[in-house]
Amino acid sequence: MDFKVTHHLYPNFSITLALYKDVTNMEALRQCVMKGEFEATLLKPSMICDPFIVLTAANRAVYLDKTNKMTTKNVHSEVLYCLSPTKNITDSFRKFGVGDKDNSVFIVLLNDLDGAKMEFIKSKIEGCQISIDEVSNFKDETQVKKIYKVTDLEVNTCSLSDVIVSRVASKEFLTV
Amino acid sequence: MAAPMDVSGENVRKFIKQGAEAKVYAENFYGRPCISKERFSKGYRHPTLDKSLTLQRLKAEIRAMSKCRNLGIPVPTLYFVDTSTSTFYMEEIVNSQTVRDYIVSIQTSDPDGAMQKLSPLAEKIGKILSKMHCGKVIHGDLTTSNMLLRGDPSDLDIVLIDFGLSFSEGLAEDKGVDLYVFERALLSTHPNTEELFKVVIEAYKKENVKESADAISKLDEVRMRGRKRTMVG
Repeated sequence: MDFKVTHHLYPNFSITLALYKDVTNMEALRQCVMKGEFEATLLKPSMICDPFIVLTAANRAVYLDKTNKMTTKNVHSEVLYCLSPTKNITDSFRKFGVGDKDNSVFIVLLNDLDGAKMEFIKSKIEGCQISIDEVSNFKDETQVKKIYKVTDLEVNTCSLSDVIVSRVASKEFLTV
Repeated sequence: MAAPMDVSGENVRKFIKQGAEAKVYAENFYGRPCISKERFSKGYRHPTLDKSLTLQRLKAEIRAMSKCRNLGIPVPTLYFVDTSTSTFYMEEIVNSQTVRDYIVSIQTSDPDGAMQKLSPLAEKIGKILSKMHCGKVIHGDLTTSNMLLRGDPSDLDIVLIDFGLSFSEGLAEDKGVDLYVFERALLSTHPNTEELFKVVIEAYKKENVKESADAISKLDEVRMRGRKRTMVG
């Protein structure tokens, strides 16, 4: 049920996306990532209105990693940073990273061509996996619009998702 | 709202066009049809200068596009920017035709009623240009080929493309030149469109009476002397 693609520019680098609901051990999962037991990005589903946005952010994070232009320490945290409109790393983590009290999580796993790492992560999660397209059911549109500072003028011309995809893609050229 | 992501299609780059500064390809970006524009390096320029110019222009193009989006002017969605190869990837506007093709087809099918049929389109163009200029964006290459009509042409869903020559400027002079470039492009590609351009200008004025007056008077001035400013005295 996870969604897996190879990177647009680097075919030997994979991007895996997965969505879980009713997760009971979020705190332990976050600890695992923080202690480095496994590497992954754990996103807050309410901040994501379309999986494609995460894909653009992950695509960019891998690219920045490969070209040695990362802002954060590793490629998985770079996904979080790429997704966020601000240049403040702590702020990005707080807004887009999953919290201890959340019970759903959107997982991004990079560089897992054979799927072994995903298997390991799955064994750690106590929750129910659902299709990533269902992420739109979790979204908090008002909050998303507020954080990305999306105006009504923009949403009139294209979908909210497209506005955010453009924001994520052009982050380095925009001054916030 | 989430578009299904079909990623089964292999990514094949298909060359579309080459201009003076960039090559344009069609490809697939994680299941979405996409256009990539690569600014290639120029061998005759000093490498350092070449790098900085290419990056500057890439930045300007991306900024102009996002500025237009902020102003509520439809432009392609940006997917990815690769500064190392000066390439950016954007949404392909599927199911669309250029305003140029549309005007030509109307003019050939109905030469007498063309003016009447095209008036709403001209009005919409004027409105969009006015909005863009109010937001201090100068497109720099306004032609009927750089405007796309998405879906049914009667919906007048115009998408502006190719911000390769654009810059951010609020001066009436630049707005006047921008309008002049569009006038020349319109009149030279489509015969008998003088009246149509008048409709564009009327709508341009109407959209923002206060700010458009200066630009229009500059347009008259530019018409007398041409696009380039005379540097005498």
